Amino acid sequence: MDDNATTSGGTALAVLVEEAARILGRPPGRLEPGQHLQHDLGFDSVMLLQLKGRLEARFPVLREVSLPDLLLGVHTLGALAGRLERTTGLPVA
Amino acid sequence: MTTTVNRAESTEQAVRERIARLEHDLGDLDDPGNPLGADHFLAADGRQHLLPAAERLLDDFGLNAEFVPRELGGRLDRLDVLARVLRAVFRRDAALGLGYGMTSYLAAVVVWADGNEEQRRRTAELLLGGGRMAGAYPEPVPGNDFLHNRLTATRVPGGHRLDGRKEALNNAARVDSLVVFAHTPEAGEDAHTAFLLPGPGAADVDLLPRRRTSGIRGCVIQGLRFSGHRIGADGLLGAEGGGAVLAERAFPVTRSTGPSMALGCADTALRTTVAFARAHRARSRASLRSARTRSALVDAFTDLLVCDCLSLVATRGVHLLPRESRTLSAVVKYLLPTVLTEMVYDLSVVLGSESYATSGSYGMFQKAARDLPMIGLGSAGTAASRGVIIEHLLRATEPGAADGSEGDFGRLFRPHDDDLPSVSPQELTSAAPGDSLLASLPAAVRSARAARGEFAGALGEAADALATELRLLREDCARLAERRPAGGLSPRVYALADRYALIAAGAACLGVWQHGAGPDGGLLADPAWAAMALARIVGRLDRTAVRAPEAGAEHLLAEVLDRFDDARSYDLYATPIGR
Amino acid sequence: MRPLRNRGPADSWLPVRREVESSGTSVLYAAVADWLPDDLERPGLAAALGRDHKRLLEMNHVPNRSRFVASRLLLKSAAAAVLGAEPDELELAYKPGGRPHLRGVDQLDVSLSHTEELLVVGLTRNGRIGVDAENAGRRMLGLGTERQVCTPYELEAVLAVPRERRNGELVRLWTLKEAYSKAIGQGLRFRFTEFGFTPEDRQVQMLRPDGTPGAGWEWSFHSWLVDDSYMVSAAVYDPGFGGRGPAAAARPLLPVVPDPRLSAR
Repeated sequence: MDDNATTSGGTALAVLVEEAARILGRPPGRLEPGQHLQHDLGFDSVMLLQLKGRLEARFPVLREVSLPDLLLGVHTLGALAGRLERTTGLPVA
Repeated sequence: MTTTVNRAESTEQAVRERIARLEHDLGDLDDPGNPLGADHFLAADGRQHLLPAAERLLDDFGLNAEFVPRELGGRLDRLDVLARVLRAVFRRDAALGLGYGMTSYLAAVVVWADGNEEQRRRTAELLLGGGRMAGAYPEPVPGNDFLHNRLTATRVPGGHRLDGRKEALNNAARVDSLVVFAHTPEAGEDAHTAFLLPGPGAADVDLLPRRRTSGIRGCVIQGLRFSGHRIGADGLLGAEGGGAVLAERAFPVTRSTGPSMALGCADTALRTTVAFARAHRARSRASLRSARTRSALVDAFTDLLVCDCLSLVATRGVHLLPRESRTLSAVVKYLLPTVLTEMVYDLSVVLGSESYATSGSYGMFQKAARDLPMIGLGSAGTAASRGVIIEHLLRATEPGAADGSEGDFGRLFRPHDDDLPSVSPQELTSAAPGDSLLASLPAAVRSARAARGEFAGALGEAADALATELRLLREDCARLAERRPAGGLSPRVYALADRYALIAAGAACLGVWQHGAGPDGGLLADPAWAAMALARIVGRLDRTAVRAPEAGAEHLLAEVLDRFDDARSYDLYATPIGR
Repeated sequence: MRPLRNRGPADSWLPVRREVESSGTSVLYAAVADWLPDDLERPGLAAALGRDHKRLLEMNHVPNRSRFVASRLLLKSAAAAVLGAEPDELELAYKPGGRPHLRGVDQLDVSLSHTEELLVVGLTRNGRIGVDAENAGRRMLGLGTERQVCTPYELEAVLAVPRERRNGELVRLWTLKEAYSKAIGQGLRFRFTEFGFTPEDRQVQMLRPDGTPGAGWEWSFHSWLVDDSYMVSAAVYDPGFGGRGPAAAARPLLPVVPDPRLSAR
């Protein structure tokens, strides 16, 4: 339901891209908000868990949120960034 | 104990009062002081028997009168009402609903359909006196261990002798009367005949060991073996060799009412889940703050409304559209067991580890999760109904095409309307090519497009998507019809039957919304639920076609929580429960 | 039961058919390369994939595209072989939660998993099935995932395992959880810290986080090491309606549907 929120990620997007790129072993510059986590980037369930673990280290408040809640209705990097921003409630510096 | 009934009991007001009385008597499931509370039903389930206090209560209420037609002294004159009353029992315990109720009814239906005066009178007397019945229906193809029936009756002077086994029969040891379908080869190679017998007290009837079941554990299910059991001429139900037709007359009634009753079981699963979510602090992962929890609750409620719309149309269809009720009831029997079972799995993510608890505040959830799959008896239980839908698709190659009789179907869709014609069993077997439910769709789609308010757009869009699915189905059916008849049909027809069932469910929802519209319609007149219901159905047909409106989910969630707080049922009726 | 190896479309389905007939359930695996068509643009593919074809067109990740296509072709071919139908006659559809099923053919439940070059398919006529596969050497330990994957009881049990086998044990638990969650149509929606499994050396049973029993006897769980490199797990639900034994084998899974237009003449 959040796929339209591709532009609202702000700096949460930067953190997300950085962590996603590290898991994928790709340069962050190759990642874009519109990319589908699974269909375009090849994320599988273990990688999603890993991503959640890394994001928790950056935003401890995420420990309160389960992975399924974080991902519900989210398909793209941008949408996930939007969800992150709302969940953490913080603009990310 | 004999129950007598008068005409005034059939009005909607009287029906509500009757259900209120039963709900009141059964009391609050969550009250630890209630002898009919959840703890006691869970304990009885663990001990694998029915709760004696509950059986006594239903004796006192005269539940059996619900199964006996009014003209024979009972309270039965509307099948939608029968299902509503039994939901009160299924909300507590599906085993009780089956063991005390539905099992008897499944057998009695056959007697009402074609028994002679004397058989009808005796059966009514037996039930009104608190007796029990069970029925051994013919085994469908492909069948399973529970549906297995290898009974044969052969002619002897003055009647028949019965031999063979029926592997699984609920209450086999304690019934007072049995309806048995047996193969009668002398009346034709595949001929079956129905018989009405007394309970299994005779020396030539053996009880087989009890079967273990993963759900409805309170039901005592055993097999029966007949070895040359004599049946007199007065035991013949209908004509010799007429068993198949007789079973066909019973199916529209049993297939529409049975799954509809089981809605009560799913209702309790949802209420238990809401209780769990409500009880968890805001920062817990199970709380109502969790988007996953909210969507699980809303989706489950939506599924229940969809199932009830279909149940409503099918049970009222037996009265209003007898010649179409064979198909309508098959859709219910095909779709509901699966949708309800999966609905409970979807809710289990909210409860997490509590979804396995066999006792405590949420123990009823795992019980419902084990009970519901038993009610449909697995894929073999739905196979015959799917076959009926396929037959319909081949008869009416343009399902739902206007047949010129786009009449007023409003009564089909009105949950509280109490003016229904009585059932004529003879008509139930002469299937009509018409399809009033799908024929009602174009007008309903037009209304949906013309709806006003916040959710009007979403409703119109979902209704259009449903209409598109109907068009695609018709094209595929036409393609099927073009093929020259061969020995057998392509398995593609299975998928067509599934799509037909979903579209019929959508049409039922849209009809209920359309005819519920009005200032006093409450939830049902609101486009929000209809938009959500249609989006969910269309999503099963094509998961990319439409999206449920987010605000609609908030709307339904508010209703879910309101009904929880007011203790009202999760179906079309919002019945006050347990007070 | 052990997973059966399939070597491509030309391989015999007899072992799979026999297993479904005798036990009601079969798990099979194959290599992506054995099922990947040479040409993803070929016209027949749209018919073979049905409504899934639209999804394929939206995919840009090449290994995922390959696994997506190959796994669906394998699933439909295996199911068709067991049912005695043609693959194109079956429609693979999805439940609202994303669980795949053969539309209208609920007598055969299916599940699908793929990882790297491996495809796994589960088939059962008993009730429900979920399968999952993962490279047994995939690193899961020390990535911050244990706490998201394991119940407290399991964490203790994993720590009791000798260090060199610990990661493998975590992979086994993970695939079991995925398999169960897929069987009930939930995927990642079920919190994996809320249910667990018994340690490696025992008959696999589901446990609640405190180690007390979870799902009942109607569920059974299996894990295997396949090709020395992949951990494959399956969760099977069988409420006991009788999908096994000679009586079941005599019941056709896909009875011929008579054409009523013939009998009407």
